[in-house]
Amino acid sequence: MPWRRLLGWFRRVFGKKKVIKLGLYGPPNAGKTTLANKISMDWTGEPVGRVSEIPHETREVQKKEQIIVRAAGKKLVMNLLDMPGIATKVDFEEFMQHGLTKEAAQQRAKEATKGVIEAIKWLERVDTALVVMDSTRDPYTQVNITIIGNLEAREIPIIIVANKLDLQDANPDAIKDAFPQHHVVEVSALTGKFVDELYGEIAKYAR
Amino acid sequence: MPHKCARCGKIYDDDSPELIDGCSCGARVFLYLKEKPGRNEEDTVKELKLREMVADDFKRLDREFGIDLKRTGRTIHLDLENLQQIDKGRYRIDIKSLMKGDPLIMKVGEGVYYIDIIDAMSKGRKKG
Repeated sequence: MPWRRLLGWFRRVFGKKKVIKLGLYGPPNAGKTTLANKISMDWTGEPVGRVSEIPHETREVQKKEQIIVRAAGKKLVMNLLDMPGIATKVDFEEFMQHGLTKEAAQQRAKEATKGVIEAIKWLERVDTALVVMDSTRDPYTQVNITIIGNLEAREIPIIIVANKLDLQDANPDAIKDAFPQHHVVEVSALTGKFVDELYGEIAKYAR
Repeated sequence: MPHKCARCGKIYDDDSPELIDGCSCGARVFLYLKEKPGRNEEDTVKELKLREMVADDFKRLDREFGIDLKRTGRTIHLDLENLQQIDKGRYRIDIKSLMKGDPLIMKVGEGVYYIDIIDAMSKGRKKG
């Protein structure tokens, strides 16, 4: 909505320094929490959440407030919001394959489903979104397309993060081809490769 | 033979473009009855109007399209609900509907739904 942009401009010019709510969105296991931890460690020295190979490790919105980022000649104050992974289907059997008992897997599925709904509800409140994708996976999924389309409709600035560059079969170009209208930053949240470039993009486009 | 939309119940003729493009309600799954000697079109429509999707139909859809769904991450939705509990620990979430701002609707049985009215109303307030 144009009024939102206008309001943002007034706030920037006349208001006090805005704290940007930066939301990390994407499918499960794309590396959102690894990236959130990297950002938080770089600027505050503290992590945000626990990381696991089992999908849906983040089942509640994890927050790290008042992160001060200095990049591209700018100083940004951000509240980092690490969202649960968004999925269209949650199946406990997937968790059992990672060694969880049936009961623990079913409980995890319930919490994960609640997490997906929470993440969607938070869309109303984020100012800028980092959409994190796994570069080794096909980006043309219903989840990615729906997230991007919805953020576009809400006029929320989007930076796409093509993550897991450290893996041999990473193909970030597939993500660039899939979403040519957006800024795509290739990174490895795990090794920290090109994360500085991401800070530059955040400084440039976050509002 | 006439077809009936599995979601809204609208009847379409055999050669209707909607059978390929999808019903005006957005659904793309249709019910039809096999031709039977002695049953004319009028009877078929009458019978079709009474016929609804049953649990076996959903199971069949899941069996036949489940593999595709797993690969593409798409979901089949023939009802109002945007959160479906298929089994204990198995859920399907219509993220498109939830992101659009629809209230959370969960189907717990044939004809029984739970609607999160607190959430739906708070969304309405925010919009107003």
